[in-house]
Amino acid sequence: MNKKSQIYIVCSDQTRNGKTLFARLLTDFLFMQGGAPFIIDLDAPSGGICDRFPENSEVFDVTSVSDQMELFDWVLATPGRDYVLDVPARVLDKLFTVMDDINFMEGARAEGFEVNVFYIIEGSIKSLTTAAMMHDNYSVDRFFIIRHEALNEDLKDFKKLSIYNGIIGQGQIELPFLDRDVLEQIEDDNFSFQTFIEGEESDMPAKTQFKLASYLEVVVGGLQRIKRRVDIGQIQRVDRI
Amino acid sequence: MKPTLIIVGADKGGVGKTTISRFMMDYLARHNILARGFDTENPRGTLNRFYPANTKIIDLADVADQMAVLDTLDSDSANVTVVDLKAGNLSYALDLFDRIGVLEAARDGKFDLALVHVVGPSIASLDEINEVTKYVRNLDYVIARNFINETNFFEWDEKTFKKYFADLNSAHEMVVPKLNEMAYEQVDLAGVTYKDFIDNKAPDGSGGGYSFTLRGYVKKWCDDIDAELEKTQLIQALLGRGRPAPATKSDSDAKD
Repeated sequence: MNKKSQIYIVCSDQTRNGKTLFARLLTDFLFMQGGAPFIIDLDAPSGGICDRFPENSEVFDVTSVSDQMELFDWVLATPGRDYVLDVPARVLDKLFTVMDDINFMEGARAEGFEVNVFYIIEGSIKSLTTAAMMHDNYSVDRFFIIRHEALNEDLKDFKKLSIYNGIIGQGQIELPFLDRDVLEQIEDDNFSFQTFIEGEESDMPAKTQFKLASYLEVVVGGLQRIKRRVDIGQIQRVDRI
Repeated sequence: MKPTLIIVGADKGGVGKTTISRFMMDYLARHNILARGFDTENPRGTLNRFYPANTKIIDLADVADQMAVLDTLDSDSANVTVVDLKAGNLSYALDLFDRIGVLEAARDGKFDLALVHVVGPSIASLDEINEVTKYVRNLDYVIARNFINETNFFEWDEKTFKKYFADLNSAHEMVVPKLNEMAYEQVDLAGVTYKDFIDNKAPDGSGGGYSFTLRGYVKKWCDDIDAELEKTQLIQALLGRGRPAPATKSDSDAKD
């Protein structure tokens, strides 16, 4: 079976809710699975996530047609590897509008890609409604929800719960609370999730290590479930053929 | 099916007449309607560059060339004739066609005639509409508002434009959306039809190597204009869908 390459789009309509952190985790997870993902950082001009993966990332300005050409033409011309797109909230609409205008999804499928969205939702009606609109309007292959643990409180509201239930069909990952000491550690320039998981992080206090390990157990567990779902989806597609 | 003569023109230069003519030829080819083109941009011929096989460069002032267009409407295998008028030639051509009875013959139903009047953002374009009105009575008149190579909004007031438009019951308005500069330039450089650009074909039929992104933009642009064109009586008739009833003055008032 020819394994399809994956394009992962990590996004949200809201700022500062952990998109880049999740994109880092996803990238490290893919590396640990033996993959060679390439990170597309849309936080132009300076870039955000690319500093973490200097050898495997590039910054693109999706508002510029020449960058759009460079990005989309290049991705489609180099299948056979996975791509992770880290999308700041301010360019979310632009990215999807351009992809829709140029029919990127169809081009990606023709080149053997599948397109997956990881959408970080927040508890406001606006965030949930925007997620639902993205879920319904764009023909991506899979739409996964990323939610913070704090969202549980918001979902007691019936209207919010009903929107939420409409978009979780393909899977979700819950992000537990992160204490400040853990956040400080993972924001350190030299920190890498892969190094930590492989047990090579020695300087971190034991209590912080424990909290981070618990956090990763949940998130990596979620990513493993989603990976299984992606793999099973590919098997089912081959069966149908 | 009656032959159809489509005249694309404007008195003002640089409003995108040839772009619209190219689009018309492209649209007709995509819908398997045999068409031929006449390019009055003598001697250079931009339309001819993109459609060398079925476009001829003519001089409209030359009687032999007038005959080549008008006397063959019935006999040519192509049922549709597109004439791309060079800048400044619209009033001259309409006056000529009026004098030699072309407009009257079309009104009598000998063939269908449509004028696609390409207007830019300037007040001069509004004055042109006034000039043209006297010729287009009972003929298909399409006012194409072209945004393709303009980044600014129309100078004239929308209300004033609607007033001009409301007095022309047989007129249809069509908006040609903007195509981003890079895509526009690349199709031009490639020297191919819009369809071939979208299909990634070079002039000799081999792979064009054009940008996927730009091809996507051109396709979207073509889809948008297709939708606009298909609202016009001209295209409805060519597609064999019959002619919708012309808008009435009260319809236009109701829209406002």
